[in-house]
Amino acid sequence: MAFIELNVLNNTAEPILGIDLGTTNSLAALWRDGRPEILKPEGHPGRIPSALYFPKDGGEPAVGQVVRERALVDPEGTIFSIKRFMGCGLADVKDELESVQFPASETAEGLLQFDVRGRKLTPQEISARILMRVQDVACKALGGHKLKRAVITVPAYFDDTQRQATHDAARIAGIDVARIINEPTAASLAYGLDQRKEGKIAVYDLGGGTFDISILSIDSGVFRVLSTSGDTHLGGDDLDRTLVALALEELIPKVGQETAQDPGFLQGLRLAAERCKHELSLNPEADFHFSIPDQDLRWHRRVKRAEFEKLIGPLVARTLDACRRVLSDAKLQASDIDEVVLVGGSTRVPAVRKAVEEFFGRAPHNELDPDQVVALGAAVQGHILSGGTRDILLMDVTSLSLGLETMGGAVSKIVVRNSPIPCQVTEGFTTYADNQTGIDFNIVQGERELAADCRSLGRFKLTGIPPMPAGMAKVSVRFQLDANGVLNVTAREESTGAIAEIEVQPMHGLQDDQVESMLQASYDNAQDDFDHRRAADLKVEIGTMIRASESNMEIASQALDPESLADLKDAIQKGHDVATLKDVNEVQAVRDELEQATLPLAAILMDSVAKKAVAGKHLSEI
Amino acid sequence: MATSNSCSDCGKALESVLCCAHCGSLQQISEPQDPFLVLGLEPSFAIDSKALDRQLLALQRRMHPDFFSGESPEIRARAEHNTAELNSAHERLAAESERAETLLARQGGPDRESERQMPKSFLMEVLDWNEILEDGRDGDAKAAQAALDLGSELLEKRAELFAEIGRLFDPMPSPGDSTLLDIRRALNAVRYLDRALHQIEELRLENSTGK
Repeated sequence: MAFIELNVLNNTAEPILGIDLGTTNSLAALWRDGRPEILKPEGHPGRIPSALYFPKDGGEPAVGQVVRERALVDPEGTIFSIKRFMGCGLADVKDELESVQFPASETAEGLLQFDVRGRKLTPQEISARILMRVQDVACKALGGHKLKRAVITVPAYFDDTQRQATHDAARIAGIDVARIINEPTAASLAYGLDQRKEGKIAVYDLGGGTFDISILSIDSGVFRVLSTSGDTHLGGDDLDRTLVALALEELIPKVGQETAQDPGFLQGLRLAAERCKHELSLNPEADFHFSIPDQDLRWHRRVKRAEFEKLIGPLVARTLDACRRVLSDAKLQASDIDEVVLVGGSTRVPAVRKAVEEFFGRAPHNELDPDQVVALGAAVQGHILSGGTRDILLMDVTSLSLGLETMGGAVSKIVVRNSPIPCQVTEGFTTYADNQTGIDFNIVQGERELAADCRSLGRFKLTGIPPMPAGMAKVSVRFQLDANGVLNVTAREESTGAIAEIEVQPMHGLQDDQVESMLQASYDNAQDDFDHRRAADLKVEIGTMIRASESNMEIASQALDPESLADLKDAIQKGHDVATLKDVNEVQAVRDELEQATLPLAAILMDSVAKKAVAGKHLSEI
Repeated sequence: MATSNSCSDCGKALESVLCCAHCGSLQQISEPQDPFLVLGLEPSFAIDSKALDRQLLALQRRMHPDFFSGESPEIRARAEHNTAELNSAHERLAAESERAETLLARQGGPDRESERQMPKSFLMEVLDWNEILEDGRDGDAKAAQAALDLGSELLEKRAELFAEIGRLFDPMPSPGDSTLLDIRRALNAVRYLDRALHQIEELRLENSTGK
C-alpha cells in the first residue's frame, strides 16, 4: 500500500528510529530526505495511544486506536498512563495507585505489577507492548522494512531506575536501544534544526504525566543543556483529576460513596474529564458530560474556563517553581532567555501558555506540533548516531545528583546535578574503625540531604582492605556516567589494589534472565498479535476505500461500463461484510479485490492534469 | 601516563592531550589530566570564558561518543572516557573558584585541609550574615528583603575577592611563594561567601514560590 521510496536504506549504517514513549501517546519518527519525519502509514495518524485493552475473556490485549474506543464501553479493561509507574516499587506510588483499577502487587524481586484480568504484568511489559506496536506502525510506514535500533526518549527528570525500566521495556519489545535521551533536549533538536537558532532557549514540557523544564544554549549546531528540572508526577492527568474531583462533589450524593470508588466508574469519569479539558482549550465554556446507560446515570455540568483555571492554578504554579529553579541553576534570569519552546499536549491549555508567557516575558513558539516535536528530535539524534551528520551535537547533563550514603545516613554528593555527561568523578574515602576490612556503599540519587529521602540505586561492598588503624585506608570511589546517563561505580583500595565494581542494577530493575523470559513470552504471542493488527489495519483501509467509492457512486453509475460497475458494487458489498472475517489472508484478498475494482473509477475521476499529480495513488487518497 | 604532547598516531604536536587535531586520533589517557593541557590553553587565571567555551565545543565535536557509535567497543569506550575527561576539565576551569583551586594545586600551594585559619574579624562577619539569614527565613518581609540585600552585598564582595586573586596569580607565583598562602586564604573566604550565597538563593526561590 505504501509507495514510499526507501532511500534511507541506501546508507551503509542502518537508520535509527526516534521513539517518543509518552504517557498518553507514543509515536516514531525517522530522518528522511534531510529532515525528521513522523512515520505514518497511509490512513493512520502514526500516533498510538499509550494504553492497553484487556478483553473480558482473558484474550490477548489490544494496543492502538481501538483501545480508546474500548475504554468507553469497557473502562475496567483498559490501562492508561503506565509511564507513571515505570521503575517504581509499590511503596513509591501508593498515592497514585487509586487511579488504576487493577490490583497492584510486587514481584518476588520487588517490581511493581498489575493483575489485569488474570495476568500479572509489570509496567515494563505493558510499555513493551506499546513499543512493539509503535515499531510495527513504523515498519508499515516504511513499506514493511523493520528497523531494530531506536533512540527512545524519557523525561529529563527520570532517575536512573526509571531510565533503566524504559531500557528494559525496549529490550522486552526486541528493540535495540541506541540511546536514551531526554525529552526536552530532543524537542530542542527538532526545534533548533528547523529554525537554525543561536542563543538560550527554554523548553517547557508538560506532558500527560510528567513535567520537565530545560535551559539550553545553541551555538553553531551544538545543543548544550545548561540545566534541567522537573517533576515526574505532574502532567495532564493531574489537570484531569481536578475536574474529576469537581464532578465527584456532585456525583457522590447521587450515586453513593461505593460507586464513586468503583474503578470502572472512575475510569469513565476520567475520560469524560479529559474531553471537557480538551474542549476548554478551544472554548471559554464546555460541557462536562458523564453517563452510565446501564445505571441510568446522566450527569452534566457546564464548566467555565476561568473555573478550570482556578482549579489547576496550584499545579501551574508548581511548574513555575521548577522554572525558577532551573534558571537559578543556569545562573540566568528569565530575561536572558531568547526563545521559549512548548512541548507536550498539556501546553495546549491556554492558562499554561499564558503562565509561561508571563514568566519568561515572551510569547512561546508553537510552529511545531507539541505532540510530535519529541519524536522528531529523537529521529535527529538517531540520524547523528547512525553516522548521518557531524553538524549537530547534543551535550546533555544529568538531572539528578548522585552520591554515596555516609556514616550517619547523610549523602556525600559525588556528581552534582546538571553535570555534563559523559562524566567521571573520583572521590576519596577511608575506614572509620580500626582494622576494618570492608566498606559497604549505598549509591543514592536525588537532591535531599538524607540518604533515606533519596532513591537508592544499589549497594555494594569493597572487601579485602588490610587491617590498619581507622582513617588510614585510602579508598577511591569512581562514578562514571556514560552518554546515556547510565552509571557505573568502582571502588578501589589504593595500598592493596582491592577492587569492587558494580554496574548499577537498580532496585526495581530487571535482571537479564527476566528480560529474556519476558522477551520469549512476547514473541510467543507476536505472530498472532501481528496478524490481528494487520487484519485490523486492512479493515480500516477497506473502510476508507469504500467511503471514497460510495461518495462517487453517481459518477460511477454514469461513466463506468456495466461490467466494471457490477464488479465495483460487488467488491463494495464484500468490503462491507469484511467485519466478520478473522483470517488475515481472507481480509487481504477482499482488500485486493476492492482495489482492483476501484481502478476504473479512479481512472475516470482523474482528468489528464490530475492524472499526473495523483499517479500511483489510490482512490481513497484523491 | 600520556604527558608527551605529540600524537601517538601521526606524531604531530597536540593542541589537546585528548585528541589529535590533525589526524583525529583519540589519544589513550589513563590518569586525570591537567585541565589546561586538556583544553589546550595557557595556564592562567585570567582566561576568557568565551574562548574556553569555544574550545570545549570544538573538542566535543572531535571526540563526543555520538560520532563513534559505529566504531569498535574499544574506540567507543575511549570516546566516552576522553569526553568525560574533557567535561570535567571544563568544569574545573569554567568557575572562578574551581579555576583558582586548580592553579593553586598546580603550583603546589596549600590545600583546604592544611590551611584553615581565618581572621577573627572575618568569622565575626560570617556570624552576622548567619543572623541576617536566619531572621530572613523566620521573620517578616522586611527581614527577608534584608537577607536578599545581603546577597547583593556578598556578590560584590565575592567579585572583589576574585579581582584580588587575579592580581595574586599575575605573574604566576612559583612553588613555595608566600603569595600562594594569600590565595589560599582568599579562596577560603570565598567558600564562606558561597555557602551564604547558596542559602540566600534558596531563600529567594522559596519566597517567590506561589507568586
